[in-house]
Amino acid sequence: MRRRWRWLVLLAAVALVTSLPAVVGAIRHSLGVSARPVSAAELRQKILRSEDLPYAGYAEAVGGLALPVTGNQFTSVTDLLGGRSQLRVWWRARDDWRVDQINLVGETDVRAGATGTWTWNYESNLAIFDLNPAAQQVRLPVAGDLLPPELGRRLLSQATPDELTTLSPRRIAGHIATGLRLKPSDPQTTIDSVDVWADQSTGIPIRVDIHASGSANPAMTTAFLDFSTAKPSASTTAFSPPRGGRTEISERNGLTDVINRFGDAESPPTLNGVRRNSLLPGIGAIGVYGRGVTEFIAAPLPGRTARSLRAQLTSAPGVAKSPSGLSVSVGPLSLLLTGRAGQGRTWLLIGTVSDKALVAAAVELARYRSAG
Amino acid sequence: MIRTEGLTKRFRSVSAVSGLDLDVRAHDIYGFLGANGSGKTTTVRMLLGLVLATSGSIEVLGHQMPKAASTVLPRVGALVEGPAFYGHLSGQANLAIFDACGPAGSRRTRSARIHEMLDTVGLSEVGRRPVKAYSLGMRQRLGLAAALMRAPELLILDEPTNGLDPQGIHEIRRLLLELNRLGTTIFLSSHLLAEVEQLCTRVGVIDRGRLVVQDSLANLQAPTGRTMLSTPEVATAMAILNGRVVSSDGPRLIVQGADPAELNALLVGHGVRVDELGPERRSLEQVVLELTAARSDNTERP
Amino acid sequence: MIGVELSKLFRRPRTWLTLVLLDALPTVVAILLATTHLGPRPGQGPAFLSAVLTNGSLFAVAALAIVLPLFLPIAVAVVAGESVAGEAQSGTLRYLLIRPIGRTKLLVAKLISVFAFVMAAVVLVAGTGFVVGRLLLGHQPLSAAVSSVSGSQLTPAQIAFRTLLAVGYVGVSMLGVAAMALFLSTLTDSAQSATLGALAFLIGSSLLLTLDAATSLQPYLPTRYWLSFVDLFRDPMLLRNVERGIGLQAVYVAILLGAAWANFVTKDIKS
Repeated sequence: MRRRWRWLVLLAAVALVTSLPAVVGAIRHSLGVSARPVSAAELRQKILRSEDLPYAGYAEAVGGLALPVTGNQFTSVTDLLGGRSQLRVWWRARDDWRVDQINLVGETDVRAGATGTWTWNYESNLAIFDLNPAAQQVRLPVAGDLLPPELGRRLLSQATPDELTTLSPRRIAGHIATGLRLKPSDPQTTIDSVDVWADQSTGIPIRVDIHASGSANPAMTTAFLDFSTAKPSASTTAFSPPRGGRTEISERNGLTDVINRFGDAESPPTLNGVRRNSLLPGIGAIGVYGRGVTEFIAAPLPGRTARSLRAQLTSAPGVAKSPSGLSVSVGPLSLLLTGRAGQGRTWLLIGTVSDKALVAAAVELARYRSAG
Repeated sequence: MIRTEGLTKRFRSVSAVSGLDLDVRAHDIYGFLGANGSGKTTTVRMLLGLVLATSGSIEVLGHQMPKAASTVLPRVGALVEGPAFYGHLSGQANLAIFDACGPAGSRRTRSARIHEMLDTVGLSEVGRRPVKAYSLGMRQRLGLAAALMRAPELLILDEPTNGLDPQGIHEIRRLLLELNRLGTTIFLSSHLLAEVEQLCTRVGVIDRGRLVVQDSLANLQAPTGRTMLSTPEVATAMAILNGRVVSSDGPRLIVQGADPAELNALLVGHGVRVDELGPERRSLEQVVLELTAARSDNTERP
Repeated sequence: MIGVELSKLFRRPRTWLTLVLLDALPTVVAILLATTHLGPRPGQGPAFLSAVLTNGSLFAVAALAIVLPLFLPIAVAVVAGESVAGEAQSGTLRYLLIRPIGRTKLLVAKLISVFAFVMAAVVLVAGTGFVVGRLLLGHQPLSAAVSSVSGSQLTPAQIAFRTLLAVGYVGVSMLGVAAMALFLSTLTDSAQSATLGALAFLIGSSLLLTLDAATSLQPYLPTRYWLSFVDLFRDPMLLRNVERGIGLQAVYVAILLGAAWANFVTKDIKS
């Protein structure tokens, strides 16, 4: 006995320490979170109107969408959708913000000002200035797109009232958050639901969960772990390239530029019965079809890009070969590369619609092409 | 000085010491005898609070151990299962470290006491050398010096002469006798019968974890009531002492009767020459062997 | 008692040998960088190694980053694993305890001396890194501003302050390993086993950190926040992970010391 009591004391202490977070959580939970009841439509309006409100915080985006493509142009996208991104954000206004994507040994920062954006990469000691604000163009996703306010507002922007329900409020990053669930009504969608939680007082989304059909775990979660609605100081978002660092002036989003410039085809105005989305003016070649969370993109690929992508997909696991081309689905994302090597034009179709919808679109594209 | 009651230690299911009732009195030189593996070292460790007893009580210097360790141990010097030191440090530095640990041991008198102790054990010339360069005997002396540093009232020594040459053993023995004369009680654990026989006043014998005897050396070696006789005329002597001879071994006879003078008169009266004559005393070895043999018979029988 | 433990630690030749070896690696790296001017490619190699090519002052932190993943924890595990088991192995433990020293007191003294060693090692590595960096790398004046990880300019005073914070944080990060090795050191009488056990604990933790399936476990792994000292060089500083790192180490130290205490106080000393 004399020996044992010390171990018992220790065990009790360990149990206490390890259960402390759970106990605190349970107490918080039992206290409940009270929030003013609002209708789904009202909440959506509030969220969309929060666009110009300042905020700051630390967010983590966790994606389970492991795309089987890599290579210079795709690596950042693959990492973004298939991994954990740690983001620090300071948002003063639409044209004055800063998003740092941090990693263990460095960070990649984007700072937007009135004249353009700076992208700073610590490890390569490189600052790139971009004159073209690319926010409203079709482009590859960047880290900042995964911030809960950006993603949440974007996903809700085209939702119809009958698709929305409210969720009971909860506490996120110390803030009371009211929730909105979007269940897309489009039969072709692969998205089961999207939950957006917004800060009760400002309406700024602080957490977004995207659930694919037929999967219990969210395909993508992005949430603030620290969040503040205080306006960040101007010095935080300002940037001047450091002495000793390299500086470049360049145009970003090389891939979409290349497609628009060299993808010698135009996307049709409708595809598979879906109209080309006019809200996102995908200039020239690239067409965006669908609405809200159920969208797909059609892009005519220039020869080299098509060959590289085809080579990667051919050897990647989980890729199916069909008469329409190479297809793969990752969570709610479906991807289809049309045609065969060395034969005609290659289209890349990717979106949150079912495989079947993409195949139908591919068939139509082939006909459109021969007709055009 | 040391008193244990029903002291028992089990390691898992193996019983190392069971039901030990030790009684060491003030000014004793107590010899704790036992073969290797008989539980001697475990007992010594329990007395010092290094190993915790499974049951039973220990009283050292009138206080319960290990509860009163902090008041008892500063008054005790000990050598447990050979000395141990920081090999890269000198003998002096080692003594300084041990002295600085625990209570007592004033800093001001430290170096003086260290020199005195090194002198006492005959190491004053090598005190500055690193201990790893010491011989086994030198380490043993240094260990003794460490045990004596605080002029302890009680010395608990486990095999103190291990590794010493005969000269060294003699010196240590003289040192211990001198310390005992000045009032130090000594508890000496050993497997060497001769050592205990030459030094100790009281003896406890442990065999396979049990105390088989505990008595003063004088009592253990008391005359047996028989007389030992050595004569060149064995046959004549046996005829004269008809019926009184217990055993014979060459010229030696063991005869009943505790009075050698009477026997001498009888034999000389019959013209028998006598080489040697005296009361029979058992050696400690005989006592120990008898007792332990009796125990193993007992344990084998059931 | 604590003084005695410290003097024992720093009078050991092995302690100094460990410290020298610990400093040797960053020095070699600095020499190689200075002669080849080849920084690691982005995303590879320890933090700050590209940056030191332009400003040598940062090599104090880069040196920490170099020894942090392996060398420093090994050194700490060796010293802490040695602390009790080493005394048991040499037999001096029993003589210390019958002096007598309270067992709890001995444990605390051992922990403090191990912590002193950790801090000495970290400060020495950072100091050596600074000197070597100034001598060999990026010959900018001492007063020149240094760019933070976020690309803003930090004054030398700011860099010095943050380097001090990083030194402290790396030291604290090592406490979990130290406590683990100390605990194992009370379990076994073999210093080597204690050291290897603590290293196994570390390697296990590092391995789980790379495993996606262990995501739910990761916030509790002792090495989870080790590299967060980089966050101190972002602008503004990101303290979130640093705070968690300190808290996590505190919990590990408390639990493991508790276990060491519960075990050691009633342990039979048979060595």
